[in-house]
Amino acid sequence: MIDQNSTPEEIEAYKAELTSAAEQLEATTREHILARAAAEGWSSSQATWLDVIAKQPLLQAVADGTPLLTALEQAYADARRTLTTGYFNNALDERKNRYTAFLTVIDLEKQLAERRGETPPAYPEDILLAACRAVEDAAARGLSSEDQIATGFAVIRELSARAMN
Amino acid sequence: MKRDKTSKQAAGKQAALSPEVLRGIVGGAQPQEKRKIDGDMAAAMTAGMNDGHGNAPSATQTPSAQQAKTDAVAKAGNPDAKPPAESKVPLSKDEVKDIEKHFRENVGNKLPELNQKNEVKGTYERDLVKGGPGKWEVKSSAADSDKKDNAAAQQNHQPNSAPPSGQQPSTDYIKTAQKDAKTAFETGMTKALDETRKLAKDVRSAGDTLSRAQDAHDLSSATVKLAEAKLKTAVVFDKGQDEARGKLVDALVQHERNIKALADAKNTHDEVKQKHDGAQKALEGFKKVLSKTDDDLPRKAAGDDGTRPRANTAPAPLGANDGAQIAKQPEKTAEPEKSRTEQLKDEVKKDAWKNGVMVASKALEDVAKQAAKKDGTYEKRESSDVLAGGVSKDVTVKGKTTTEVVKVAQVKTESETESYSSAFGSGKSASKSIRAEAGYENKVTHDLGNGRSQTVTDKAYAGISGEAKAKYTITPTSIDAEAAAKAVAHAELRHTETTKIGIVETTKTTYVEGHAEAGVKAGAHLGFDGVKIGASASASASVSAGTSGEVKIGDAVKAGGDVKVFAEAMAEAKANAEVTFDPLKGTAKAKVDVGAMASAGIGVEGKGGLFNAKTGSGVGVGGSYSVGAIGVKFKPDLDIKDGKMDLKVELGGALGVGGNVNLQIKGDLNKAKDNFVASTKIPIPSVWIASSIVGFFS
Repeated sequence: MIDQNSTPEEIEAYKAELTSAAEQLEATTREHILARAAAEGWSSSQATWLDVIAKQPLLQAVADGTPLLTALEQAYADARRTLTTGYFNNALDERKNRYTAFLTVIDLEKQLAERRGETPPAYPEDILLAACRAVEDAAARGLSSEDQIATGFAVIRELSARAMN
Repeated sequence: MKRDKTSKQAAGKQAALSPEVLRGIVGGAQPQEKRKIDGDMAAAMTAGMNDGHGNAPSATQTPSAQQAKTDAVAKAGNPDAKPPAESKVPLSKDEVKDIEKHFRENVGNKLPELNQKNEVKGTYERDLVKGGPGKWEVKSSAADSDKKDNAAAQQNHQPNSAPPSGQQPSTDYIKTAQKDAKTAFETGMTKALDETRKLAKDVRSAGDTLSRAQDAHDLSSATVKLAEAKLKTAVVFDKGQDEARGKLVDALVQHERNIKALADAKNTHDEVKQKHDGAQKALEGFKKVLSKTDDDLPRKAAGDDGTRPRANTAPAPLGANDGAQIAKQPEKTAEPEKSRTEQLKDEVKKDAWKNGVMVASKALEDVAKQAAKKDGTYEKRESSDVLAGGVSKDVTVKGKTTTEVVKVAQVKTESETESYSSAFGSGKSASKSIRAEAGYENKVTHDLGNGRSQTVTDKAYAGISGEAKAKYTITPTSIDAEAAAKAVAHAELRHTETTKIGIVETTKTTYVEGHAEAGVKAGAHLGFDGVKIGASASASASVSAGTSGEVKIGDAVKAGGDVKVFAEAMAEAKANAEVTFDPLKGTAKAKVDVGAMASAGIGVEGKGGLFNAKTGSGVGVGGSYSVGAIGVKFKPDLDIKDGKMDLKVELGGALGVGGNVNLQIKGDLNKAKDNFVASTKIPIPSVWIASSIVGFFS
C-alpha cells in the first residue's frame, strides 16, 4: 500500500508490481480470448479485435474489484457485440442501406457457424424481411445501432419460434 | 327562354290542342314515322295537357296547338330548336283520354326523363343483336335539358306567366304510368317471392344433406384414426397386422367417399344458397321500390303540397268544367314550382330510391339468367378462329442453357353470344373481335447452379384489333340497351433480364411501347326510374420508353419498395473475415459527446456502465493510431496522481486498420493493485474457452 508519505522507491516498486500484474493479466486473458474466439468461428483478424475491444472493460472491471472470470465473460460478450455492431456501422459508413447492414450481420453469423463446422442458420426470407423492417423501424425510433441489431434478432427469434409451433 | 309580347298575345287566342295535332306529335315529325321513344318527344306530347294536378291547364297555360306541333317536331329532330309554346285552352275529357291512349301506345308506361351528359348523335344498327329493340336513334343533349329546366325555372318566377310547356306530363298520365309500373313491380315481386320461397326450401334441404354428410365424414374420420391406432398396436405386438391393415384400408376407402360426398353437398348447398340470396336481393329491391311508390315519388312527381290527392290513387274523372275551374284557381307565385325533370332528378338522387331500382334491375337480370339456365333457355356460345398464320414455339436445351423461341404471325377472330329468356326477363348480347398480330419472343435461360439462374428475354410485337359489342336486357321493370366498338393498335420492343437467386427473383426491363385506342359506347336505360341515355367516345394514344424493375420473393411475398431493397441487400451483404474497419469507431464517436465530462475530471463514458462516478474510475478509448505498427503490443504506463491510479496502456499491432489503441484505466490505486495481483493468481478454467454465449447477439 502506498500513500502520500511513501518513498519514491516504494512507489516504483508498487508500480512495477502493478504493471507486471497487468501485463500478466493481459497475456492470460488474451490467450483465452483468442482461443475462445477461434472456437466460436471468428477469424484471426476478428479474434484479435475481440481481444483489443475486451481489454478495456476487462482491466477496468478487475481494477474495480470484479472477479476475473465474471469480468472476462462480460467483457468478451460486450466485445462480440461491439465487433458485430462494427460490421453494421461499417456497412452504413459505406453508404449501404440498413437492410444490407443488417444482412451483413446475418452473414457474419453464418460464417461463424460454417467455420465452426456447423450448419449455418437459414432463416426464411419472410422472417428476414420482417427483421429488416424492424431494424429500419428501430432506427427511425432513434435506437442505437446495437439496439437496432438486437431488435432484428429479437424479431427473428420470435418469428422462428412461431413458425416452429 | 325569352317570350315576346306577340307570342304571349297569340297564346291568349289559342284554340285547344286538337287530338290530330297531338297524334302528329306522337307520331314524330313525319306521320308515317314510328318512333319508339324520345325524351323530348315525351315532353312535347305532354305540352298543353294538364297542369300536373289532374286538371286541364288554364287559359294562360296552354300552348298554341300549331306552335306546339312545330316546336315539338322541330325539337325532336333538332337539339337546338326551342321547346313548344304554351296552349291556353283547356282540353276536354275525351281529348285528354285520346292523348293518353296514344301516349301509352307509343311510349308505354314509362316516365320520361332526360339525363344524358354528352351530346349523342349516333345511329346503331341491330345487326349484332337479333330480336333487339331495332334501330334506335337519339338526338338530344344535356344542354337542351338544362336549357329547358332553366327556362322553366325562370318562367315560374314570373307572376301570371304560364308554367313551362313541354316539361310537365299530365297528372293522369303520371298516375296511370305509376299504377302500371307499380303493377309490374308487384307482379315481379310476387314472382321473386315465389322463387325465394322455393329456393329457401331447397336451401333447407341442401342444408340437411350437408349436415348428414358432415356427420358421416366425422364418423369415418374417427374410424380411420381408430384403425390407425389398432394397426400401430398390432405392429407393436406383432399380432393381427394383416387384419388391422385391411380394416384401415376399408376405413380409408369409406372416408374417401365421405370426403367427396361432403364436398358435393357443400357445393350444392352453396349453389342453392347463392340462388336464394339472388332471389332475396331481387325481392328486397322490389320491396324498397314499392315502399317508395306508395310515398315519395308520386306525391312529389305530381307537385303535391299535401292538400291534393296522392298521385298513386285512382285519378278522379275530369269534368267538363274542370279545366275552367282550375284556370280560376289563383296561381302559386310565391315559390317557383320545380320542373318535372327536376322533380324526377331529385327522386333519382335519393339513395334509397336509386338503390332500390338498381338493386331490383340488376338482381332481376341475374335471376332471369339463373331461371333461364334452369329452364334450358340460356344459351352461350364462344368461338375463335385463326384465319391465317399461327403461333410456333421452339425449345432447345443445350447443357445448362435453355432457349425458347415463340413466333406469332396470325389473324384471329373471336366471338361470343349470349341469350336467355325466362319469366324474370330476357336478354341477348353479342361481341366479335378480330386481331392481326406479328412478333417474336426469344428467351434464354442459364442455370448458374446453387439455385441461381439468369434469364434474358427479347420481345418484339405489333398488333391491331377491332371489337364490337351489343347487348340488350328486358326485365319487368326496365329495358337496357348498350352498344360499343373499340379499335386498338399496339407495338412494343422489350428486353428483360431476370436473375434468380434461391427464391428471390429480380427482373429488370428496358422497353419501348406504343399504344393507340379509340372507342365509342352508347347505352340507354328505360325503367320505372326514368329514362337514361348516355354515350361516350374516347381516343387515346401513347408512346413510352423506359426501364422498370421488379422483385419477387417466392410466391408469398409481394413485390414492393422494401422487398426490392431487401433482395438487393441479400445479394450485397457480406461480412469480411478480415476486419478492415474500426469497430470502436462508434464508441469513439460517442466519446466526443462526453468529452466535456472527461475534461472536467469526472471520467469518461464507459460502455456497459463501467464508469464509476463515486470513485472517478472509467474507461477511455483514445483514437490515436499510428500507421504501420506491427504486432500486438501491451505497453502499460502507470501514473499516480493524488492517490489515484492512471494506467495508460498502448495497444497496437496488426489490427486491420493498422492503428494502435490507447487504453486508459483509472481507479483507486491500492485497490487496483490488489485486485490485479489477486486476479493473476486465479487460473481461468479451460472450459471457459469451450463455453458459448447463448444467442449470437444476446
